[in-house]
Amino acid sequence: MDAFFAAIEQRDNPLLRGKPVIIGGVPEGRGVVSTCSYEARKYGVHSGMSMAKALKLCPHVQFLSVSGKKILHVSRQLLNILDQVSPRVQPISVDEAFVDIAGMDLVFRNEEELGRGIKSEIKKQLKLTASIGIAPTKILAKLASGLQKPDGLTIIRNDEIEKKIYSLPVEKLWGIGEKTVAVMKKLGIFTIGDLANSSEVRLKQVFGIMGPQMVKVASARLDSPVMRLDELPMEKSMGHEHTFWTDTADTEEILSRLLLLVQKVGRRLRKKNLSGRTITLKIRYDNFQTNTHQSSQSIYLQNEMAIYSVATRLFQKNYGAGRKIRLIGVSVSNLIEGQGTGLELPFQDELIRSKSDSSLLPAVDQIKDEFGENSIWRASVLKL
Amino acid sequence: MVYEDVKEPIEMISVFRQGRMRPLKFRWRDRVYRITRIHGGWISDEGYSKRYHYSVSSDGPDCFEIFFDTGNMSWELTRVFLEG
Repeated sequence: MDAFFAAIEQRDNPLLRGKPVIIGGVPEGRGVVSTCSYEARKYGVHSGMSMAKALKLCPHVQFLSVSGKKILHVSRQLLNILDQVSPRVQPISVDEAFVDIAGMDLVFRNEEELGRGIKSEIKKQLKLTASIGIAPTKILAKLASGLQKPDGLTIIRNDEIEKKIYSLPVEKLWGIGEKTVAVMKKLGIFTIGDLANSSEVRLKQVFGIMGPQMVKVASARLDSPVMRLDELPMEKSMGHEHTFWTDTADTEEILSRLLLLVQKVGRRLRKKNLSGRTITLKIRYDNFQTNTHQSSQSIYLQNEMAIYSVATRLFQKNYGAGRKIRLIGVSVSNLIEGQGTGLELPFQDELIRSKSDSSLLPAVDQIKDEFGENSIWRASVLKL
Repeated sequence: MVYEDVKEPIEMISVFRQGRMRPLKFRWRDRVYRITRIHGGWISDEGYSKRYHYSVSSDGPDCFEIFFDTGNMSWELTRVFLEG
């Protein structure tokens, strides 16, 4: 979708149409631009830019926050439209999805008619524009979708791959980040064509197993199937993080926030009936130094007070007392299905072994299911 | 354009027809606003109840975000966008 969050707000509010709009909070806040309208992009504003810089580039821009629930609603509407096109739809974010169109030639005359049909249905039902890429592989389709934004339709057929994409910079390929690009440039690889024609053996020496895969991806010789949500592999980790409004060294505030984050993680784990045994704490200090600390347990945890106990110990062990913190985060990984099991050791922290919340948490979940996510909290996080 | 988060209850006259709801007119701070245009709508879950959100305009250019909560059968004005 084109400038999804901003486009939704412009659609719903005539006062925003045709104007530069940034979604992502308030200009005096700490956040970054989540999305901006195409009117703001003309001033050089882009996603990920700090709010302060965006305001400098475009002083008359309108800053807005957007409701996550509203975004999810529109995202579901989008998926409903795509589900009418093909039984195989793989969402990759709230506003992007892969659609397997193999065999669609029985229904549509050609790819262009299909692409235009999807775009027109999205415009009709959502009053939003989408840019669509159609290509032989998922990664090339993703690349193609970004070539003619906004409201674009780019088709790359098998015999057009060299002509249409080989001259593009290698960083246009999905999954190839800044650090990889820097190394590639040292190897003389600047374009997708350079990568496609590179020696797999040479790249394996530099990038390991990923090297030959990148060569195959660039030359459309490697693809993965479009998988529905229920076919995707289990999540590898679950986590949440928070950026403080102002940097803080107030341990009470930091630990309250950590508890709130752990509660969110715990709720998600219980919803999906998962447990994990590795707890990771992330601390970003005011100078942007970011440290992560991990602890793996002998038992799989789902109980949030047990997770909090591990996270707190990691914090107390590793926090440079008095130092101001900008961001804190917690995640649980090494996930398995089911409730916590494993080897209980008598010398382990009692809280980790504690089952005191095991009857409380289902009741809390029931209250949240019935009255909403914000209906019940532990008292120690209420002041946040 | 300026906007303000309001979060105040409002009185609404709305019509329910063919399984759809359409807000027509509301009273906020002793002033009545006739809804002339609905720009968009969306639904959110709040536990077992639902909220039907609308983005609407009255006679002027100002824009209002409102919702109907099925939990307590009430309307609320959440945000007001004013031109200027």
